[in-house]
Amino acid sequence: MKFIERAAMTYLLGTAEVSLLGSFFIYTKGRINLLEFMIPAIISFVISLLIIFKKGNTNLKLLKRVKKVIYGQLKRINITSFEGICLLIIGLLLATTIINGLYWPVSSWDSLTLYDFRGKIIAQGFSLSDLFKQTFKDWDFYSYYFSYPLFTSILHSVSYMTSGPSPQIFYSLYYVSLVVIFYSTLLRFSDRKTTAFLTLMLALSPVIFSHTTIAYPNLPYATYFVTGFFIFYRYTKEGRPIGLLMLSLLMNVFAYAVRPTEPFLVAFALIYIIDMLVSRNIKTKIIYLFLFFILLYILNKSWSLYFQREAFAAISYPINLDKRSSLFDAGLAWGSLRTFSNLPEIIKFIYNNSKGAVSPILVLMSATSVFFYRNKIKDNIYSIIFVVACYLLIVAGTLYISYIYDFWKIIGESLSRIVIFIIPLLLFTIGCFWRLPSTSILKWEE
Amino acid sequence: MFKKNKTKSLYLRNLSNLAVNLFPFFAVGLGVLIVIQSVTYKGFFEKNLHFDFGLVIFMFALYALLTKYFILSHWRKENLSRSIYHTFSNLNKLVLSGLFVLGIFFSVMESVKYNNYVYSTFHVNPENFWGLVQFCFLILVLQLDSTTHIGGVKIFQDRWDTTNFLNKGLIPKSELVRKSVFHRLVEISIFFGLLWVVVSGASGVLGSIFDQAKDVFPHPLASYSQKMHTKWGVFYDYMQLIVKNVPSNMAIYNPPQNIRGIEGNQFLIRSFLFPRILISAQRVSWSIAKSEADYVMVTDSWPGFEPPRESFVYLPKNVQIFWKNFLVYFPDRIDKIDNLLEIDSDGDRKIVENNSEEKHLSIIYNSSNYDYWGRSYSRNMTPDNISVDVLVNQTEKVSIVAGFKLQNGATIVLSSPPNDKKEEYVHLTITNIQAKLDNITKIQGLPQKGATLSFVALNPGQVYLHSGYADFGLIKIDKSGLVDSEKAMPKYYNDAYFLNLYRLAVYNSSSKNIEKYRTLVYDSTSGFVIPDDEYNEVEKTITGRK
Repeated sequence: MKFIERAAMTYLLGTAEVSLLGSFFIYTKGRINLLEFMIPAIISFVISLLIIFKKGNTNLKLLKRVKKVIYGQLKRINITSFEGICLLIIGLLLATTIINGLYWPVSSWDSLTLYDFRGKIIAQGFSLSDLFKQTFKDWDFYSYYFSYPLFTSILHSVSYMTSGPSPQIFYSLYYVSLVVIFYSTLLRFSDRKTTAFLTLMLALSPVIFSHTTIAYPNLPYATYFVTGFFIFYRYTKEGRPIGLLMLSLLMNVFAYAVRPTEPFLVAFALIYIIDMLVSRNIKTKIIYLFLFFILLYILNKSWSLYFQREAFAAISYPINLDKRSSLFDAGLAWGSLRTFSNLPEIIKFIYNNSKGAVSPILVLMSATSVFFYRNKIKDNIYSIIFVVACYLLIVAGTLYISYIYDFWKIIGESLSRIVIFIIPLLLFTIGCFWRLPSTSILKWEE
Repeated sequence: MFKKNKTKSLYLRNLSNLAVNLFPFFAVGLGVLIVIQSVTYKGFFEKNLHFDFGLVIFMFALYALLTKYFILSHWRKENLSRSIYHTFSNLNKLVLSGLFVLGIFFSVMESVKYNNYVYSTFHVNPENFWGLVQFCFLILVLQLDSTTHIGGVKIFQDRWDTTNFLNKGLIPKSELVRKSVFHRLVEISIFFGLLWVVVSGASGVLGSIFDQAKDVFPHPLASYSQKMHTKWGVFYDYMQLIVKNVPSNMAIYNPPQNIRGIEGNQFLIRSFLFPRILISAQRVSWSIAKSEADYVMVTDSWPGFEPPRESFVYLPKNVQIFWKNFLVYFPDRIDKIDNLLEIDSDGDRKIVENNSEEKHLSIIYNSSNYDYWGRSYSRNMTPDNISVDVLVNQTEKVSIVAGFKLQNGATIVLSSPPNDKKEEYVHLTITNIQAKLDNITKIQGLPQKGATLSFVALNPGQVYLHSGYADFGLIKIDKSGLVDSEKAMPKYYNDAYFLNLYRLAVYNSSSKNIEKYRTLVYDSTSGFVIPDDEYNEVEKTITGRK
């Protein structure tokens, strides 16, 4: 399991590395070629070689070790039929999604128009500013291509440049990573049967599964964000090693790089600060938090610099832009926020649009399990705070948008895609509190 | 816990007898309701009997939990095995396995054949049918206990505290304490709730997997184009047609998005047509675009104007025609045409069948402006009337035409409106032939005397730009800048005036609000062929308005 978990983590880190370094080249040069794409791979290869040789010869006998590990694992397999059935179905689902990912080209609407399209033109050696002419110098059409950072687009362009399999495979692998990391994390805090059952629930969630067939950045975002939280949870439970904290911060940085518009980093910052206040080593943690914000700032700033340079480079005449800055928006929203008049309507709206993604029964069950196992609340306080904070942020975010845009009600579908990360979080919370009923529970009363 | 209080226990025991023995009847009753819903439609009970079906299911679930509680706390195993509940649960297993197989069969048929196949064939709504399967499954789950075996292994056998070495130190002591029956029920109900989510989610995921698999397995080595065609259908073919015909440095004028939601969505079509320049009709009027654009996309509802045309291509279309009673009424006699001969065509086409016995003509077009099938004449007499009955597989596709050769060598072609219905016989006719002939010679400045009838024919190759003759096409704009009179003499003079009249008739009949449509046409373009005052005249005559 450890090996598979590491592979999943490696995938998340690797794709982020390729994307962010690729973005760096595009931000500085405007375009990118295959050689530059190879640089992250070369760096990773050199680093892994260094690690292997530094540690001495233990890793050199890799084959022998792998053989031993696999043999040992096989010997140790001792599963009940229930767990076996769950794991078998999970395995089949993962295999199916990989087959689908290898087979289907990117074909979903928003992906074709934005994420995949940018990947294609980058792969063809164009830069985004070349689009100015193609849009007949129409600012509204042109600026659309700058509406999200390039994270997933760069993965697509790697696939097109190397004429490898369809970029859809990346999304299948994100799904696999999410399922694997969920399983391996929950296994540390729950029993095998419950873990297998809850992982099956995650894998069988129709909304998350459907994201493997469309190339939207919501699934990568959910994977990075949820993984960040899982690692943080492990950090609080496993004697607070600083490495895990760093990793979880890094995952949140990647989540920000995929979709900077989501406000849920605040929930993470909240539990981070609470943990910082109750645990030791506060100085180091402040430094890490500081570094974290600097990274976010760099990501944000580099994108906006690129946007300004690239978008305005193409325009030779002044354009009447909407002068409203985001700060102004925030001020406006804060002014109206005091009335809260939209709140009931917004909660109804959120309920209607998220019940497809997050089943109300699931929410009910997690609330029930928390309520009935109150003795465990202290142990799992972070996950509860985190989930509640995420829900509050969804409400606050929708409230904010409803003041800014008149058309907020038509974004329901988008909301239902954003909230998919709640599903693994809820299941994880249930897994921390509740156990599958065992034999003794279902026994006849004698 | 109830054993301590004997009287309470007795009372509860009677209640539990009642609850457990009535359970099968309620379950069967609810099952019947679900069956009724699955052969009618979702929301049937809400509409006709005014009760919330979801609430009934919820009440039943509570009742089921209560039953389980009674069984756990008050029933001895040997008593239970003699009760009706036991017979019912065995029956349920049998029914469930049958229904499950049937449910999978329905799902597979639905995805292999077409949407709504199951409902149209078996009159069963597959989605509601899965509800029945889920319901039986829920009852089965309620019956699970420590004695249930699957494949020789106890389903709830629990070995986690011996095998899971990771958790050994982490089990809180509170869990090892014996729990109350109520507490256990909560645990079980959480399990049922989650299981419900799994089962209802599974049908969605399974449906999605079947949907994908029905395309993957028959064509494991399909090309990129084939896969994209599977996903996007004709739209993808249309985009490929444009990619094939438009060089990458050219500009294309695309439909406005409010008229053509897909072909007018510039973001979408750009992902197929990049790096071609796209000019949206929603934002740039035709008067500006006609100097910038090289091509115009054509769909069945756009454009509402006639761009000067150098060439025209469209997606291959198979036109199937059955015809009868093809009659030409001369003043002195009536001719009946019994077989169609190829007279003239400028089309890129493939003739599939021309059967004079069955009176059937089938042609696949790649491009065409005219395609005349009929009989040649050489008569100085003008017919009064020409008519035919045709059955065509598409609307707005076939008209009858009559060609008249003039002394200067030009040919005037008169035309009837095309068929306005498909898959049924439509009567087409040209009347007032002499008057129309006079009118068109006057407009075009042609010699008025000495026109001889040269052919009478069916024309399945006509371009009716505004009436869906081609769902998806592409016009290359003629940029020579020459007006009609400066061009080489055309082979045929079509009765353009009449066609415009027809076009207006189509506009007005297809749109209830004439003013709205008119504004639409004038807003999106400024190149409409008929002058404004003439438009008003025609509008009056067609609609009878004042």
